[in-house]
Amino acid sequence: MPLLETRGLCKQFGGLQAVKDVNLRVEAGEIVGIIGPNGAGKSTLFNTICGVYRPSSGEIWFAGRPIHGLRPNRIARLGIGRTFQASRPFQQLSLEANVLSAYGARFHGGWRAMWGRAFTPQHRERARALLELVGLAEHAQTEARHLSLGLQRRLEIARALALEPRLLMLDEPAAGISHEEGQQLMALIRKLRDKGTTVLLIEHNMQMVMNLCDRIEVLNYGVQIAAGTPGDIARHPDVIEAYLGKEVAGA
Amino acid sequence: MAIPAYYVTVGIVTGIYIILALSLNIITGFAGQPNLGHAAFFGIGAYTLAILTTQFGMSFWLALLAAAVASGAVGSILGLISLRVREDFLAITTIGINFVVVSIFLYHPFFGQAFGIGGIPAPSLFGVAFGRTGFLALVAAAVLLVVWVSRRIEGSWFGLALESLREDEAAAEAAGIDTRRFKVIAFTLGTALAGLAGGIYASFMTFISPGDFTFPLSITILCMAVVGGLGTIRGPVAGAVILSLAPEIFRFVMDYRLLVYGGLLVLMMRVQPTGLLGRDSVLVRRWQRLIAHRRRPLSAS
Ligand SMILES: Nc1ncnc2c1ncn2[C@@H]1O[C@H](COP(=O)(O)OP(=O)(O)OP(=O)(O)O)[C@@H](O)[C@H]1O
Ligand SMILES: [Mg+2]
Repeated sequence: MPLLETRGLCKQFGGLQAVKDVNLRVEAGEIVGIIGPNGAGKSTLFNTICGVYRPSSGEIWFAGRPIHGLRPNRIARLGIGRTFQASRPFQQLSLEANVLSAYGARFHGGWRAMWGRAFTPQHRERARALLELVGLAEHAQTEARHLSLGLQRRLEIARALALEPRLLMLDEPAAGISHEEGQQLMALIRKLRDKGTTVLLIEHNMQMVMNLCDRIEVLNYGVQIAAGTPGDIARHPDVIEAYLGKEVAGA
Repeated sequence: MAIPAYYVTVGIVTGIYIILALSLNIITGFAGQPNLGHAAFFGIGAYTLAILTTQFGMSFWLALLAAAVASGAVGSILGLISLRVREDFLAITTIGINFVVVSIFLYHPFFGQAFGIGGIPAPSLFGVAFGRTGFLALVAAAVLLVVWVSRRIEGSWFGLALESLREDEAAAEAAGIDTRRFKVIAFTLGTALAGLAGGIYASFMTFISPGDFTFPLSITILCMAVVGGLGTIRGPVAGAVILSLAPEIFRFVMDYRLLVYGGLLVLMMRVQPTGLLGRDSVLVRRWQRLIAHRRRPLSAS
């Protein structure tokens, strides 16, 4: 049984078919990349899986249960952590509070538990450990708005990890960060996978996708045009055409 | 006791404003939801207590509880509405609720219409009816309760969830926070506490009428919270104290209340959006620097 599966998933915005009949299978323990030109529907696919959009049709199954129609917070607490393409940390909250918000939602969200104190030494230690993982522990008391874009992206990953997700979905985590930060990010993703987290990754940085992913899915105009190992994808004529245009592919 | 009656009355009124500002702060400060109709909930509490005590002979204490519950119940409906409308529409909706509630008080015979409701009894404890000082003690206790509730919220998972949804709803959802549930809880709690203030107010005044709960009061309450600093506890308390004492000192303010408060709101948004005592405000930073200077020689020794 795959950890995540979409069956005939469609998402339409008015007349625009942003995601068309997508059948995605992600096995536990994999790192799966989703690539495709701008506007291909990658982020829309993410948002539909995460419950931001309701599917126009089709089904989404996670860990053996249907999750289409559930609200995003429910899906998050079932074990899907995510980041946004334009990073969205809680700007006026400290890094520690950013991380603890998700941790609290996951583990202290009940009617009684929610009145418990959030910033106890024990919970702060948990937040510190998560921030440590992404290299932000020394900034725990800083407000998120003071961070650079690259660091904000890492904070978002830490916040997603606070849910202790089985599946981590990253929307262009390497966009706008330095080469060195990109290398650190790859090391982090590998480390998470080794600890048992499954990763679904949208990324334009080909070097990163090719190095990191076990499998790659290619979207174009909302349609899956190819799937396979990085080696298969690099040689796939449709992919080359989608990325480089007809003339180059035909030449 | 020898405190002059005038000061006791000012103390009671100030205390009621503190409760109103702090209860609005739960909705607008912590959860970031606009509410320009808080006076309506103050009014629902006041009318609930007035009717239950004068027409149904209910004891003050039970009626006070009912006042909070009735107000919180209507507040939870507003919370549910808040899930359906955009933030700017919600602001207008809350103004609408204020007008609707006041109109019902004004036009429905059950609520005494323009005459209002009189003869509201004072609470009594062990057979002794409250005098002015008794009311001051009651208001002080209610203020402490609301401060305590606010403090409980501040460092709790619940408070953190409210702040997260204030910052970014979509991100809060992605972080597993049930933003809808927490919004409704914030509206319910904040309006219930306003209803509590209304019950105390009705009993203290012995007579209430629709004019006590109109839109300008909502603006006054918002102004108190904003001037002091939304999202903190000290801010709304300080704002309520300053703005309820100001008209006592500068009588003319009363005549131009809406103008002055409206102007003040705009001014605060321009020059000090976090409020006088909010996070990162000029005054707070000065104070922290002062403290830091004083501490340094101590820690050096
Ligand atoms: N909320 C929306 N309403 C209407 N159209 C939308 C919405 N979100 C996305 N679209 C459209 O759907 C299509 C797919 O957009 P999407 O953001 O999913 O692409 P993407 O593959 O993530 O692109 P990029 O690589 O640029 O991030 C685009 O044509 C976009 O304009
Ligand atoms: Mg995208």
